[in-house]
Amino acid sequence: MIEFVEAIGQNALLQNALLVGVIASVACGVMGSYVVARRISYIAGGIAHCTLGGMGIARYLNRVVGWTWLQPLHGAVLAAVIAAIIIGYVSLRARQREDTVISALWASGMAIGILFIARTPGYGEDLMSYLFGNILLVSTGDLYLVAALDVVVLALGLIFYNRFLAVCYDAEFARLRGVNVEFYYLLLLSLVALTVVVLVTVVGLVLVIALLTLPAAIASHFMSRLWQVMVVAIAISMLSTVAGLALSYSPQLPPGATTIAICAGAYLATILMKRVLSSRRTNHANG
Amino acid sequence: MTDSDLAIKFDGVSFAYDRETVVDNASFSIAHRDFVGVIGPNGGGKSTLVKLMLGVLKPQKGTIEVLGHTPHRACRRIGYMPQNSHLDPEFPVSALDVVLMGRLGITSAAGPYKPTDRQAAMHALDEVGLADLAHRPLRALSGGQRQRVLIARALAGEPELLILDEPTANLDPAVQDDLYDQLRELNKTITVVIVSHDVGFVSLYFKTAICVSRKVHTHSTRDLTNQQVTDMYGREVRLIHRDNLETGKCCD
Repeated sequence: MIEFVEAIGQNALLQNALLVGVIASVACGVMGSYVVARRISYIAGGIAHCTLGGMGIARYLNRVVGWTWLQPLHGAVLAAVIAAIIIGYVSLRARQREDTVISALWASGMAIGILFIARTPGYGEDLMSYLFGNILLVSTGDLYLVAALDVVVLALGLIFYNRFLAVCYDAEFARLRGVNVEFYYLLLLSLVALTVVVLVTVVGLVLVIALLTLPAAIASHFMSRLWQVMVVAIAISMLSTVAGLALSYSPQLPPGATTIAICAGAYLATILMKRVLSSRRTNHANG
Repeated sequence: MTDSDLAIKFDGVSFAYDRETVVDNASFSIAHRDFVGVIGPNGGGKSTLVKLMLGVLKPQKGTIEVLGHTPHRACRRIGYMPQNSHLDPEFPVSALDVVLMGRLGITSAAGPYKPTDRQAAMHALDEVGLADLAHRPLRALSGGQRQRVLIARALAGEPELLILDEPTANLDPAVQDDLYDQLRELNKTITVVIVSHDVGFVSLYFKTAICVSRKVHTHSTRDLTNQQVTDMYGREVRLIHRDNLETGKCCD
């Protein structure tokens, strides 16, 4: 721990990692709260896994074709938004087969990514960093991209808060009030997609759904309005990512997995605490 | 009566899900400030008829006019309360948050709600007797209170036509009576259409009954007979007429 505090001053990569963690937490708390309230973590999972396809293709074009300006993260942004719109369209239209179609897209996106990564030199280490995160290797360029995405997500997520809230709670009613439900639903999923890309840099795409949903799930146990859930989820997400970096530094553990373990522990503790409190209350009432 | 006096007008309307006809050649009209009960057996097409009025479903045949326009153009002037069952009771919103959703389509296209929206929402909550609970989380409210929140949401848009789908489903009898009294008060200025499975009370409160079981018939509730209702439901159903109730007679 002391080693970690000393290292912050000297290590530019660690500073970047901390900054990315804190910035990403803002988008994470806002969009994660929508995802948890609307119960669409499965859709968010599908979008997250499709980003591997975009990252794989971008990396192939970068290394093999020679498009050096194209970074894997750019491919992830594009793939995530395309996946969000396709999956959103499927969930609006194909009500009965929604889960089947999303599962198929989920796996297909990953398959495309793995195929392109296999055809690109330097297979192993890059694949691992996409899947499980490489927050300690975030470049300054990545940091700017993450900050820009964060601003977009936060601005639109707050400007259209009332619309998104109405569409999430009761889409049919919102439509009758003249709200373009399809547009706002697809916009919401696109913002979830951008948030997923931001979080992929922090914990990798396999762990993204836990970081997106657990802070909001913890927060919704204590808060009863969506904006309150958002504020608390942002705080929990920041604490988890910073604590994940700090605790993993000296023992040289993977920071992404450490962050998720902290989130999951906090979630479990919340549920247990709620249980104990409510059983105490019933005992009081009975006694 | 000219068409401009009509709140709703169906002309030869048919609607089928796939091949199963649910509404068959319905023609009827509802005047402004009528108090209408839509009754009929389960699966008879009551909710389908309401969704046609709202423009959520489009008829395969015939035309529908609501407040002098197509349902799609009129829908913002309608206050609609859906059945509660499809809504998530754990959703993180307060009662006021839900009622404010009734202001969409009136308030600005983006950004926060305006003070006038909040006033209208509070007024609507007051009308259903829930002003004190405006800031309560939705999940802390009882089923009956949640139902009234949805009625307030329908009222918040200052509608000219109020359509309520089974508003008394979760309410105690005493609260039901209160609600009907409140609706009768509202009915002095706006048209009220209520879907109800509660046939017994139809003639007690409503002026007009729309009887739906594939075919659609309208009756003045004074003229509705036990035999007509029994034929529609396929078993004996008794009506309670207000006149009879007031004079203490049972209807036979």
